[in-house]
Amino acid sequence: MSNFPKVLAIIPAHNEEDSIGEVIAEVQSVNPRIDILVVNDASSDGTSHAARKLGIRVADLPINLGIGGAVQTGFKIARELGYEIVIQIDADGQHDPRSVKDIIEPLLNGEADLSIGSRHWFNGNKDATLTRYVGIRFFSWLTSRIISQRVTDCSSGFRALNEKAYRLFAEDYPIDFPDAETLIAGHRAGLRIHEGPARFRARNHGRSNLRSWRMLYYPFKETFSIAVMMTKKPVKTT
Amino acid sequence: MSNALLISSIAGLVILGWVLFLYRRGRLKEDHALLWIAVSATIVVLSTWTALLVAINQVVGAAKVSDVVFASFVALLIVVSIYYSIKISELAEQNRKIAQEIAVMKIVYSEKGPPASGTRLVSDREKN
Repeated sequence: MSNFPKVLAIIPAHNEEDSIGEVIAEVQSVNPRIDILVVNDASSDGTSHAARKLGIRVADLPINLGIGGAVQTGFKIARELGYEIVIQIDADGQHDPRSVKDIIEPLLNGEADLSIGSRHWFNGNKDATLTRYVGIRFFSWLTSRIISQRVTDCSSGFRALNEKAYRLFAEDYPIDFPDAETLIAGHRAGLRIHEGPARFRARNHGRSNLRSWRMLYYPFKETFSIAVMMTKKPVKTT
Repeated sequence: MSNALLISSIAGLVILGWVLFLYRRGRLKEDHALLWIAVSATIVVLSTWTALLVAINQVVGAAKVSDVVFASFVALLIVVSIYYSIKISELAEQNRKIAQEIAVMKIVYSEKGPPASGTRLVSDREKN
């Protein structure tokens, strides 16, 4: 295992002061060779301080960019610092870091460029509302049809990307709801996508950014974005 | 000239004067000032040039010739709104890039030392 690649765990965080320390500790305990980067998306609480206190790199965004903007910042930093693999982990504790090994494995074996951890393989999506559940199923179905490959959880942000994939998304990345769109854009750019099981847990702190009116707006915006993307020429990977 | 056309020509002149005032005070950029000058001048021309208005009305067939002026004004406002939506989208994109560049540069600075003067992040797309 001495040739373990340079891996960066990107943890986008917005007001996750209560959970960020726990998530960092878990990632470190699972694999101490993985570097961690917290992208603090202009939190108004002590998220940045809580992470820095643990000696973790923190990229502080001066304005709130949303999940996509924060993750893309992480990709840009990974590119500047020469990482081979990046893994995206939510700061709210929903992603169980014990699954990191399984998610990056297809990348280490050279079988995929983008690997997604799906919540549906193990325990479903227990804490999802009905509308969210229906939304995930619909977009997973739509994504599966477009990329001609079965995807059960296109909304999962528990993902690992190799250099080819994250460099593509460092250039262009959807800002608000990057889920299904990135899979389709990646597929069209020639990325090999893999989906496997991952352990998800109930959120311990904070609230989902998909709530109230955003929940109603999301399907329209996502469908519109996908439809328009399909009319464009695919972006080529470098 | 009907009262409606008189009111619309006065409104056009008021907008024109207001835009020139704002531009002289430096509160409007040239591009934006010119856009509004074009809108208000169109309204004034349509309101005062009756022959042109009648000719347009023969094509569109509005109930009253003054309707052509107001419909033109609404159409111009829609064009201006779309123009500003484009500008806002561009600014939002620039804002995002600047915010990301600040965050990335801070990290790179702390890891690799101070960047050379004038350094900025160069994307893969720019390199190719």
